Amino acid sequence: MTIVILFLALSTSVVIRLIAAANVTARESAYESRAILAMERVAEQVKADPVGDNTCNACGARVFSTEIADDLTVDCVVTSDDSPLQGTLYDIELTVMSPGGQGIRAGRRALSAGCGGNAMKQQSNSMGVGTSSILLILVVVSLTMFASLALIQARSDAALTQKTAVSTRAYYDADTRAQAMLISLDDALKQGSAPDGIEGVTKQADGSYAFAVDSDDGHALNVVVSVASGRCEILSYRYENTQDWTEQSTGSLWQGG
Amino acid sequence: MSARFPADKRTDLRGAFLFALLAAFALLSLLVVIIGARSYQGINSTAEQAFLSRTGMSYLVGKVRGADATGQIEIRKEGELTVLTLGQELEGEKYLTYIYCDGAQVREYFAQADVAFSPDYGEKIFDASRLTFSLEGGLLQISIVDASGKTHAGAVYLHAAKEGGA
Repeated sequence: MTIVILFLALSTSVVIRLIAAANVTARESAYESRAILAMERVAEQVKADPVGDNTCNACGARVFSTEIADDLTVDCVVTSDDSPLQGTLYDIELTVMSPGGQGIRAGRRALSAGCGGNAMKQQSNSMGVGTSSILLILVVVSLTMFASLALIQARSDAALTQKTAVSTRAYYDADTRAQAMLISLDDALKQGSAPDGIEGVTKQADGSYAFAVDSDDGHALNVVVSVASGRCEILSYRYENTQDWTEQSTGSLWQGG
Repeated sequence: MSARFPADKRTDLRGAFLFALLAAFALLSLLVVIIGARSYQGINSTAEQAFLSRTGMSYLVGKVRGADATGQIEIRKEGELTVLTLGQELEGEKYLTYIYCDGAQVREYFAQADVAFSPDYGEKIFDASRLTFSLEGGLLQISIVDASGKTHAGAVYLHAAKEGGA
């Protein structure tokens, strides 16, 4: 009997721990997804208007916070670099501090992102413990499987969130390098040098200039600029997949007739 | 004086004890099932929210970033639908990708630019009750409202399309 009760207590504890772990993983993953999306949104807004209200701190940096939701605030630091001959290069640093509550660990996300042996002897009673033990074991085993599946689902969801975070960072890394290339092109134009003298920049048949910035996730940022006005005017800024598409065989498809 | 109970009373007591034990098993099992089911429901609902804000929005943002070129991104009115069109040229032919919401699902329709838009043929991307776009100063704002009424907002700064026809 003691063994049955111990088994019940232990297995219930395991199930509850599994479910709690799944719950925390799912909540963390959901929060991280929202944090990535919020940081991306603020980054794009800053890119559209990097100067904003032009209020800078003593270090010359523009520091502000954007509240996306009650539990989600993006802290942003925008620093400007005026060293390029034409234009200004902005460095955007975004941080989200998650609250400790709601089963989510506090943290910083940044983007720059048994069976009863004794009972078996009591066979005289029609309501024997053996039957209930078997029932209990079945319930506990199925609940343990159920809780394990919930945990596996939550973990795969968290893995997808991590992949999204990695690809978002890869994009912004490529974007930063592309902006640096554009500044170099502007500087070359200002100095009267040919833009195709810069490594990686090629002249197109229509007189425009193109360059590509590879990212870590199998994409490339393909940029085409026009220099007709003496400054770079972006004609195309496409983030495209560089991996080859392989055509699947249509051999087994009905071809008609 | 004997402290021992008669045999039939002992049997009654044992029966009552076993019944209580079985009742406790049943109650505890039910409790664990209820806790488990509620948590599973919560995990599923959290995962659905994460899917929209992560996979759904990332997909749309990725599509827009892949089409950021002069004159290739446009917000159109097609009947009662607000449609985001993304253009691209393939072997000299212009093609358009139409992204829209039919009130239940966000759909994508890819066709040659000179072929009329047919919302019925769009491929389902994900479930949503509303999808809105706004373009101002090169900043494309995307807002997805899910079935529960929760809004997921994203933005893409268009480097090239703002200077052209968008």
